[in-house]
Amino acid sequence: MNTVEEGIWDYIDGLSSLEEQEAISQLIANDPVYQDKYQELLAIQKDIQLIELDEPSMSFTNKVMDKVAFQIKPLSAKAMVDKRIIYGISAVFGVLLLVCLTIVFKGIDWSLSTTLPVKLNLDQFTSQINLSSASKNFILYGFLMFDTIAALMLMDKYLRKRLA
Amino acid sequence: MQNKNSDIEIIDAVLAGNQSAYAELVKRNQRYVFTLALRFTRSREDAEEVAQDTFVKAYRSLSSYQRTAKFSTWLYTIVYNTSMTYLRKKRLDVSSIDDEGTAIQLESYGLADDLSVERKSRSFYVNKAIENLLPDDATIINLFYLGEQSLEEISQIMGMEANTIKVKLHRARQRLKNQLEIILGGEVKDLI
Repeated sequence: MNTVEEGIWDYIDGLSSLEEQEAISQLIANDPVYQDKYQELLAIQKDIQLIELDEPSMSFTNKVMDKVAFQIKPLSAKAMVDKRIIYGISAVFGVLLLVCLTIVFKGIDWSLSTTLPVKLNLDQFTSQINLSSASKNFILYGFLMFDTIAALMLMDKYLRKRLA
Repeated sequence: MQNKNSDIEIIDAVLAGNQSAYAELVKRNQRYVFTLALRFTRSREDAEEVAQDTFVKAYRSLSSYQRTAKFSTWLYTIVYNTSMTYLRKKRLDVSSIDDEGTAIQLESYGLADDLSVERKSRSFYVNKAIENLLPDDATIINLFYLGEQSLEEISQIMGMEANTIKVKLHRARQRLKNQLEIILGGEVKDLI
């Protein structure tokens, strides 16, 4: 495919920029090579527009609807997910977050609040929860896992949007 | 004047549980879907089957339609994938689209046909020529000219880069011209 032809096709398809359009139209007006090629491609374009759509059988829609009748009705995502479940999950995570924050803030030595950064006493946080180290690790890893999954989901959503 | 519902309004109706509303979407798109399927299958019976499968798949997945693209673009993606699956089943080789040396199977449309060139319309030969193109070439031309899809939308449908589609479109048009020359022999000069 030579660049002359490509340029003229882009011009015909309306895919070239304003400057390119201007340049091509000048060439078509003045250059016999461009003129001939333009007429040739225009004729092909005209022929392509003669292509017709094929018709399926008369009963096509009925056949599709007969098949569709046996399918489970698609429901919108809104209808499929009960809002109460979403609110319930949100409430559980909200309460968990509040409990954690309360314990952490209780452990802050507020007498040193004039000096920054505020020193958080995480040992006190963990000691107030009377759990074995294995359980603490389990909770810690659980939170990390949750954060990782949430981050991956957000990244997936972002990339899908970008690709779309 | 009849107020026609948009595709999105019909989709919302279907998702709200109105199954019969889907018939309108089928009627609107069946010719495009059938034509695209026919470019791959080259048989009306098989094309009907592929087209019907496409609409059933689209119905089942309607809730996953993101509405970021046109409904037609989404639907044509399903036709394309369904047709490719059909071809794989039939074990036809469609992977050599870029191969310039690909031999295209042609029926004989010599001038010795019962009907003379003069008696057949220009449109007849153009449609015959597109039938003889490789499925991907015919699909790109159909999507661009009949389906009114942009290069970006076609790239989405066919899972290729927009620039690749642009090059393929140029080549497809050139091949269509060659097909017309083969079908009509010397008389093509009068036509194009």
